[in-house]
Amino acid sequence: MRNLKGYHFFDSKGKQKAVTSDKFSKRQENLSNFVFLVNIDPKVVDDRISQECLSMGFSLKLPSSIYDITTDTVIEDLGKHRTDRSDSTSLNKLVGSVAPGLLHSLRNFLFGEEIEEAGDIVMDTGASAGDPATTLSGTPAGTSTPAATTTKNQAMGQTSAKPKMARLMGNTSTKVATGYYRPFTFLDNQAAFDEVFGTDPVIRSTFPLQKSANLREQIDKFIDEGKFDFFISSCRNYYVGVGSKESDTQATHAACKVINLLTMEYKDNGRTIVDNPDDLIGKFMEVTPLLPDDASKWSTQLC
Amino acid sequence: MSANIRVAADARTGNGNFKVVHLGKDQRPISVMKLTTLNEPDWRKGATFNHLSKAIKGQMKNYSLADIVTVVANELPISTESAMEEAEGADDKLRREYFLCEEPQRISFL
Repeated sequence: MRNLKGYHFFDSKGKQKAVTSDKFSKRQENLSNFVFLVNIDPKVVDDRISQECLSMGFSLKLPSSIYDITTDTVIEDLGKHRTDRSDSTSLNKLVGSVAPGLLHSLRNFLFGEEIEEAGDIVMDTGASAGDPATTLSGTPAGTSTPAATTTKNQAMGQTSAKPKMARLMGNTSTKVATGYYRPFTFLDNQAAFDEVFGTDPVIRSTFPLQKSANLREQIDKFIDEGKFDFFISSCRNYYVGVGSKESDTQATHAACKVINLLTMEYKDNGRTIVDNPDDLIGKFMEVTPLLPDDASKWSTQLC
Repeated sequence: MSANIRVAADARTGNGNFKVVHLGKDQRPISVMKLTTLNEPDWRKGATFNHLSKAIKGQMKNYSLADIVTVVANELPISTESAMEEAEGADDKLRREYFLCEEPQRISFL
C-alpha cells in the first residue's frame, strides 16, 4: 500500500459500519462509502517540490448492487462508472447505452420511418438480429395487434417485470439488499481500486452529510503549492542553470566585498577619520542603549 | 515629515536594485529585487532569482497561482512556457497520488 490506508465503511445515513467478513451473505447492508486516510509525500513525486507531507482523510462512494439474499446472487449493479464509448455511433454517444430497440422506436417517432424487415432495426449495439428484444414484425403503422403491442413494449426495453419494479409491486417473495456487493480488494490492488471507484473519483468528506468543498480547497491548495515549487525550480533551471554549491559562497563573498568597501568619512577636531562598516556598527551599538523606546518609529534610518 | 519618510524609504531600496511589482486584481505593490540580465555570472542570477522566488512565495496564501506565475513570467527575461508545462505535468502526478493504493510493480532485470 503506498498512499492510501483504509479506515472504515459507513452507510448512506453516515453511520459507521463494521465489516467482519468478505462473504456477501454475512455482509452488512447499505454500505455506501469508504473512508480513506491519505498520506502524500510530494518529494516522492519530484524532489524539486519542497512542500511538507499532507495527511488527510476523505471518503469515496462505493458502487451499489442489488443482492438477492435467498439465492446469494447479485441481481444488478447500480451506478456503474462511465465506460469507454469510443466505438459507439454518434447517436449512441449522444444518448448513451440504451435498450437496443429504443433507438429504433425513437427514430420511428421522429421520422415516421416504416420498418420493412426485421433486420432494419438491428442497431450497432452488439445485439444479434435474432434477439427478440431487437426485432419487430412487419406490421404496418397504425394497427394495434397484440403482437405489435408486445413488440412495442419490447422496443421500449420492457420485456417483463424487472426485478426492481416487481419488488416495488410486491410480486416477489425474494429478499434483497442494496449495498456494496463486490470483492474487498480495492485497498491492495490498484486495478481493483480503479474498477470500483474509477480513475478520477469525486472526493467527499469523511462525514457524508458535511460539505466537502473545504476538503477540495485544501487539496487544490496543496497541489497549487506543489505546482509553484515545480514552476520556480524549472524557471531557475532555465534562467540560472543547474548551478553549483559554490554559487551561494560566491554570492556571499561578493556581498561582503561590497559591504567592506563602504566607508564613512568625517572630521573630528580638524582630523579626518574614515570608519569602515565594522567601526560604524561598533559605534552604533555604543549609543543605541541611550535611545528612548520609540526610536524605532523615527523617520531617520539609524542603521 | 513626509519627505523624510520618502528619503528613508529610498535609503532602504538602495541604488535601484529593487523594483515594485503589482500583484493580483487589487494590484498590491510588493518590492522585489531586479533580476539581472542573462550575461551576468550565475551566482548573481541565482541570488536575485532566489530573492524574487522567496518574496513571491510569501504571497501564495493571498493570491492565486495564476497571479503569482504572471509576476514571475513578467520579471524573467526568458520564456516561462516550458516551465509552466512541466508544472502542469506535476499537477497531474500529484492528483494521481491521491488514489494510489499499491506499490509500483517491481520489474526484475533479466
